[in-house]
Amino acid sequence: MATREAGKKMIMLKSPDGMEFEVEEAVAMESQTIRKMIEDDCADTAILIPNINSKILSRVIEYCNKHVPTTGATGAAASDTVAPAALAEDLKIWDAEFIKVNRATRFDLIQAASYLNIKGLLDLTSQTTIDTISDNSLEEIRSFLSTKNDYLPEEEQTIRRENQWAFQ
Amino acid sequence: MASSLMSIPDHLKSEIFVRLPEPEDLARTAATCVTFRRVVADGSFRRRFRLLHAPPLLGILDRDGFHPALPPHPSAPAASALAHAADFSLSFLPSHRRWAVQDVRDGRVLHAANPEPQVFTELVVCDPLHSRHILLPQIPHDLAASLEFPVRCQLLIASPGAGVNEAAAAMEEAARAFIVVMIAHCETGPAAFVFSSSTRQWRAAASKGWDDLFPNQEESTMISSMHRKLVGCHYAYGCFYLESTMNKKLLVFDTRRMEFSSLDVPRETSNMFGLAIVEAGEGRLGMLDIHDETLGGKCDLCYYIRGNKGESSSQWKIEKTISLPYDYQYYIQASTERYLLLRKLGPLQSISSSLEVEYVSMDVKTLQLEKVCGVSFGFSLASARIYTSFPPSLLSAPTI
Repeated sequence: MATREAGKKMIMLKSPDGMEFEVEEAVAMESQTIRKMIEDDCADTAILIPNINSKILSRVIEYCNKHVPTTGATGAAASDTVAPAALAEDLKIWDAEFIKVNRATRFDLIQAASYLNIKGLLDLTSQTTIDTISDNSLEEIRSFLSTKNDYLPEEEQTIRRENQWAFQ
Repeated sequence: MASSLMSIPDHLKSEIFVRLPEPEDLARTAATCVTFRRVVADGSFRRRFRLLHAPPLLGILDRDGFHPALPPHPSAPAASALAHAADFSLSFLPSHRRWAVQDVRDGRVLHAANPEPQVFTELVVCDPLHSRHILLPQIPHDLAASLEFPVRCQLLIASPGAGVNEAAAAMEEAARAFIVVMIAHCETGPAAFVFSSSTRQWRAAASKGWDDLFPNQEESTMISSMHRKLVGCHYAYGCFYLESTMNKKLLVFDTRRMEFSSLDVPRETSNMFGLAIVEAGEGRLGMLDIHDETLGGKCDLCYYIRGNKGESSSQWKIEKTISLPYDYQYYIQASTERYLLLRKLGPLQSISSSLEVEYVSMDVKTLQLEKVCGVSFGFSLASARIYTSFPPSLLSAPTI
């Protein structure tokens, strides 16, 4: 990352519902999509983030604020004295709290993380969904993910037969 | 607002599903509804899943054939499906020679027409699940001419590394790409020849003198160690690790840089019951060794991890010690990047009456010991190797 002076460069992020969020450039650049815009000089002082409403965008910024590398003087909690392992543990606990949201918000966060290309957030939000699939029965998976069984009975028989090993 | 997984775009569904830990989870997801099946059945999705996940251990392959993992091993259902679908008798091969298994990796089996292969022995690579095979051309004589009295040849197979972000066509090809490595142990040093499935050609890859690799070792020990018939071989992160009787050292062949080097093993290792190299995650090497404190009494399985180069600790550090049940004798039989296979004999007092050997697997991610199957004691033991593969149907695709 480029060297940063005491006066940190700020970026304005705008949501489609008209809210504006002023964030440090380093925080915004946790998003690879925004990083690319900035590096390619496509970003003026304000960037419109389409498809992500202010409620979700504020959560995403909250995540980026917490996860921006703290090696420089970024304004985040001073971590020079904290061991990396302890810091990682702290982040893990923070992440676990952060993802305690309802299902709709979680899916919105997945879409936002994908559009903004924030790998850590995509991993975190996807993993929570994965946990509802692993080791659960078909009926439970359907109920967790609010999907309906739209197979014809014979289709379902076929797919179960072909992959019988997965249903034992 | 997306209140259901159904309402988010397919590319995001695949983003989520590709993180599912096991093939079983993926098969169950596909069975929940038509939309999910469409996502999971997509070719590029399946290629990505296969690249991101190591195939599970489904059984043991030795010169008697395939021994599927049996219940209660977690892989038992998938192993039984594989045993039904695959042809381990090699009836699809054109000529019925007595092929001898040389190496097994990623669902591909490398056979030689001679159990003690020489430089020009006929070789074939098989995919038993898809009944496919590729006969390898002989090493050109001019390439092998430089070899000085090869004492023995070791034959190994691996997949060349492939990036996840390659174009679909390139990934398709990458999934079927393999390399066969022949390491000829000569009097002056080892030499490696590499066959690539993409060029369909052999090339002389590397050679090095024993003195350069293992300085300050007496030459006699060097040669005698290489004369040993059974030299264990392990593969992790693109490198082969060959055991030798050389004191605390492994011979390393890097298939990416095409060069030989040596690796020190932890000073505490005994290597009396074999050792294994595995992938410990994040590019770090893992090593397993059985430590017998009291000789004949209680044994421990010791797991060491070596930090990456450039990190503060590129030394071996003990990660975990696992107590092995008292009264049984364990040997390290084989390993893959993700799995360790132990051979269990005993109880010790009844060893003469019991002619059953038990195979026990350990997934390096969970460090859980699980019985795979039992076989009767015999000559096949030496050739037993781990067989890993994605189970038939949904995820399996030809590997050659």
